[in-house]
Amino acid sequence: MSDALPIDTLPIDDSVPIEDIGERHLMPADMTISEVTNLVAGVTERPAPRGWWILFIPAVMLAGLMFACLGYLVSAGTGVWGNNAPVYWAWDITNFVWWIGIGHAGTLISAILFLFRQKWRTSINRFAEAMTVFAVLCAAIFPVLHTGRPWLDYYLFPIPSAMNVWPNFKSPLMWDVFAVNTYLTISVVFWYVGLIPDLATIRDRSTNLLRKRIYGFFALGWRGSHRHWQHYERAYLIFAAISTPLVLSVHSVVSFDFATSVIPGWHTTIFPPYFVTGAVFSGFALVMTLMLIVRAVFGMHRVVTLKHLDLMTKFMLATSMLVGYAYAMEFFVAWYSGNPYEWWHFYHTRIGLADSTGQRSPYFWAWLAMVSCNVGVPQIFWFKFARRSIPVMFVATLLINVGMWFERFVIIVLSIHRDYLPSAWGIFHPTLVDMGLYLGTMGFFLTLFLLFVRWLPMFAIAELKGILPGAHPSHLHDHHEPHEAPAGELSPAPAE
Amino acid sequence: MSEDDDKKLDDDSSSSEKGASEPFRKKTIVGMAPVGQTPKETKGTLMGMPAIDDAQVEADKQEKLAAAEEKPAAEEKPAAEEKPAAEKPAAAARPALYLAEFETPDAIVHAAKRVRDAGYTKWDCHTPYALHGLDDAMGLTPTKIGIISFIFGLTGVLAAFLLMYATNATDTSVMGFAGYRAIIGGKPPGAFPSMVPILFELGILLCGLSTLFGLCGLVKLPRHNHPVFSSERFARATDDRYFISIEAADDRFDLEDTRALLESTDPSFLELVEEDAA
Repeated sequence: MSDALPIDTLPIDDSVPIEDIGERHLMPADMTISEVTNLVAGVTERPAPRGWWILFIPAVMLAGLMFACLGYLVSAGTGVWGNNAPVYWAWDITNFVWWIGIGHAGTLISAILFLFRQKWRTSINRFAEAMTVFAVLCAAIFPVLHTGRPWLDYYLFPIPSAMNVWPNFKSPLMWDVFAVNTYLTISVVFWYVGLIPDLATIRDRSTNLLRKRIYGFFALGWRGSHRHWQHYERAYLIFAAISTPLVLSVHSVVSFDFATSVIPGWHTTIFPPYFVTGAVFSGFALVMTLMLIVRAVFGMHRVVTLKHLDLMTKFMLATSMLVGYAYAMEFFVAWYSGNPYEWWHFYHTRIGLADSTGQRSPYFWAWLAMVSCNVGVPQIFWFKFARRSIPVMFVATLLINVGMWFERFVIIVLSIHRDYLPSAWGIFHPTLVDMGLYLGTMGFFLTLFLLFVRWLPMFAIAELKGILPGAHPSHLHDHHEPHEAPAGELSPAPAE
Repeated sequence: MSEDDDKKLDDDSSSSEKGASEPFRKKTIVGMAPVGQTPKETKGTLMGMPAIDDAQVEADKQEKLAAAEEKPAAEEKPAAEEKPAAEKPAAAARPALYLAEFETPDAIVHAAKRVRDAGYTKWDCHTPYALHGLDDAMGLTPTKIGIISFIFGLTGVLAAFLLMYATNATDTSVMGFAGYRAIIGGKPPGAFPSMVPILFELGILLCGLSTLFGLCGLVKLPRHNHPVFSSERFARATDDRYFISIEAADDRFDLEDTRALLESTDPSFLELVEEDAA
């Protein structure tokens, strides 16, 4: 805000032409309300573009690979994985943490940015929420199989039965069961509640009776009633308010799986915030990768503008710095604690410096990959050209996701393959089933995701309309009411 | 803020950002003739005004008004005659609601205030997105959904505590199921700190689910049939138009007075929707 303007005479009215206070509208100025409907709902009505098929067919094939690997794994046993003493947690848990982390950006965008009134989220939140749901589904596959006998997984739930066997609620692994299931449920509910008005939009545009019936069924008979909107807006705020601590708790609980153990490299109090930040970082990167693809395939340049992408890159830059801080702090604490095992782990396993006996980890390159991708690559977003260049963003976000996978690999495998006694040291090599399952979950994720963008409104239509210039009455703040607060979200939006 | 300010802001926005307010400016309807000019074609008695420009809208409206005043009964008749064999011919043509269409947020808010002040209770606004200022313009009281979420959130926390206590902290049998006083990691049975994550998660879970079902209960959805859907124009309520509906079930509802009220708010379209002949 300019100093030239006397602050107290500035109207605090949302409807003030925002150029006057040095802001620009998020959406193109000539965007009309019906254009939003046509643009977003139209995708579900036209045949899929060729780019969609080019992605969809390999995705389905990879998903098939996942099911083949699952079938083989369940019939042959978890021995087909490369896990072996002492590395009992390997790619499976790495993939679990990676996928769960990817989901976190969705909740961050839909809930935390909502609470902070970041209106630019409306162009990416639906997308990211869908990603959350699918990523959590992919994540859940791994611990379910890692139990070894997945058909006995119902032991994880406190089911009253004649066996009278109960879970041990003091175990962080049990906390995980509750955290991940709650997270999946709430993410699905949040996503669905947001979809209701948009499904009604598609229903009302349908000319085909079958489409009208199917979309109409899931739209629950939504008729845009303001008596409904009033409750709906508050419910949405409540979902945002509970999802925010939920998303922070889920990855914290995941990090407890490690932090409550005694393994050097795992037994660290910094883990909960470190994991949450990393999760948001990697999730943002994947949202952006997919966003760039979908934006090009479906021509959504007017909904997801360079302004949005620019804001997302800044977000990634910020989270990258936080992650970098956590990496540095781990080393500092390893030195400051005076714990020789912790010290050995960080200086000889992670950096890979040979110790006095010439010992070091053969996996030290994984740590270098992690740091260069997660801390090095995002630094390019300090430069404006990088925040405006689609190819730079695309490559950078892919590298970030590679780096974040390595982060989990470094934490999990590197820590347990070199613990206290050199006689207990081992090495981990992934098998073809490990690789097939990992690639397969990517295909499964992409399949679900492509079906979503094809058949459901990929942007929050109603919310986008609410941030168009002039979407709200010009005399809005004549009567200020305290209970308008939740509705305040959807006013014409200054960009930041 | 005064009316003058409003006007000034409007002017500012149109001059400083060309076309910024265009989507919401009142426009003429092109290629959108009122569906079913005659009552026979739809269930409703329509009083559509194919507007070409504002002057014509005005002229049309006067004409329609005059026509309606002359023979209000004549318009009702054909609809009733369509179902002579029906058991309850009166029910077949019973008016369900008036539906008025507006093109701008300002227009619907002004109209909503008029309807509110006229004392109607069973009426509603239909908008493509949550429109600010309508809570006040409709005279709605704040929603109570937060209370539901809060109560069920606490219930979830309590349920989680009882669950963990019964299974891990006591061997007293509850309904035939006994737990174990398990000492794990040197922590006593029922140690509170290790309960916190699950207390939290189950609290959130119940809070979220109760918010969903509480929302469905408060707004009485799913409800897939509603008289407003009989209007073919109403499809635009989820696209780019703003509607006010006044239900016939309202005590103050009157075919003449209610229509006069809605017409005085200058809607771009007004129709009487009748109930489906079930």
